[in-house]
Amino acid sequence: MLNMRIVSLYLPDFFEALLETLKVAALSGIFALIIGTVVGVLSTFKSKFAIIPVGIYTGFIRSTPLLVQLYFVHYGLPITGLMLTSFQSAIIAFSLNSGAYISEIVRGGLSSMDKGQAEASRALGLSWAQTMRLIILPQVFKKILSPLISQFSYLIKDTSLAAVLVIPELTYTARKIAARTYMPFESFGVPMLMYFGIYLVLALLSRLVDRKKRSSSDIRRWFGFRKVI
Amino acid sequence: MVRVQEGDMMQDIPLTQQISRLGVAFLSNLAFLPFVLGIGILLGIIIAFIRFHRIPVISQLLAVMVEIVRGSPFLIIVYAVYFALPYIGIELGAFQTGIVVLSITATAYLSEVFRSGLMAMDRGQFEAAEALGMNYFQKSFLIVLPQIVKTTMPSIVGQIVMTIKDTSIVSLVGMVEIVRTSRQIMQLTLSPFTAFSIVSVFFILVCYPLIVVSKRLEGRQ
Repeated sequence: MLNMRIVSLYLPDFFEALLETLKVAALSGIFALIIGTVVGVLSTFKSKFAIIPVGIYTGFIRSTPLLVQLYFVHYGLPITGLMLTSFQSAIIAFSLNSGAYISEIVRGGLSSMDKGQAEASRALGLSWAQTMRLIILPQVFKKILSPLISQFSYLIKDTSLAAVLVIPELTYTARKIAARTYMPFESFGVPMLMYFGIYLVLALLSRLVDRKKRSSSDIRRWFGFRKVI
Repeated sequence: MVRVQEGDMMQDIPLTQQISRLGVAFLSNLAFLPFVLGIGILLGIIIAFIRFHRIPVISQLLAVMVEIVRGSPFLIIVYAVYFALPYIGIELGAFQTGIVVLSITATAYLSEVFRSGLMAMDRGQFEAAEALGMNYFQKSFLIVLPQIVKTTMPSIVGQIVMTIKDTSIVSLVGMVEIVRTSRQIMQLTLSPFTAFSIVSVFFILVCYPLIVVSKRLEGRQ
């Protein structure tokens, strides 16, 4: 069905593009994790000065399409005098986008923590920052590892939008090769299999992490990825 | 990159005119919804039932298809449908491509939602319905389905939000909708913030209330 000559001819290109996709995803993922943790902690504060900006940020990100956010960063920021390459724009947009979803996950993890933990460590004389860093956050991250993995899986799929900014990642390469070879089934089939492979690996990983603490009421199966909206 | 160059036709479009043009364009985004939701919910329920009953061969085939759709980025499915299908004699316009791809993804995600709803059902319900002498269809439509729709409502609303946001990606194969129109306006006025802010406001007006509703429904359960 698929023309194997074409597939093998362009396979190195596809793998190069796959690396680019993973690079974008990994960089954005790291920044998103930082943003998400900070915003997630901020969202548990009682102060209006924390809650309102956090609410605007997460509300904006969650109710507008990623494509619009990408355009905002790529076409909007240069007007303010900040010149960005398309790679930088993509990283900023993906980090801000994923960071908002991660902040929701972190907030969920924080609110599920027992209050006694924080009180006990304060009683032991630890400062608020120490309590967070040494006691609370390590436990939270252990708890939310599985949703974080599924969020990363969504991030990898979202990086396909970097194709719009002519970044040579998997989706852009697929289109380029399709236009060059007139073989769309091969050109789109191979990248889709690659995306699917990553998805499978992450889903298995998420399942492995989750297996230890699965409760009987929680119907989480094999590929239990659920998007936080 | 937006740069003012000599010879560029810069054109001022009044704000009210920008808003009305973008508002009209947003209607074509929302026009996807009835089709996509109708197809997605119907096929999603059918696939969920087939997979729940583990009907051999079809069930496994559907499982693989659902996972492939859930594992692929939306954009590459759009490209694949738009650029590959003409080679087997199916030529779809941008709007039709949008309906097909949005329906495929909505079906895949919703089938999983309904399936988890089915699996969460209490077995006693089936047994009680059977004891009352109901046949399979009565059981499914009168007892099971209404309860599943109720328990999965937050996820259905979430899927609506995802569908609305995904309609923007169909602009990348030439669909004239709000995001494409905003880019055209931006290229004329050279002020990206105005155009994209209006677009964002339209999306927020529709999506944010839905997100709140979804959260509230989730909290109630």
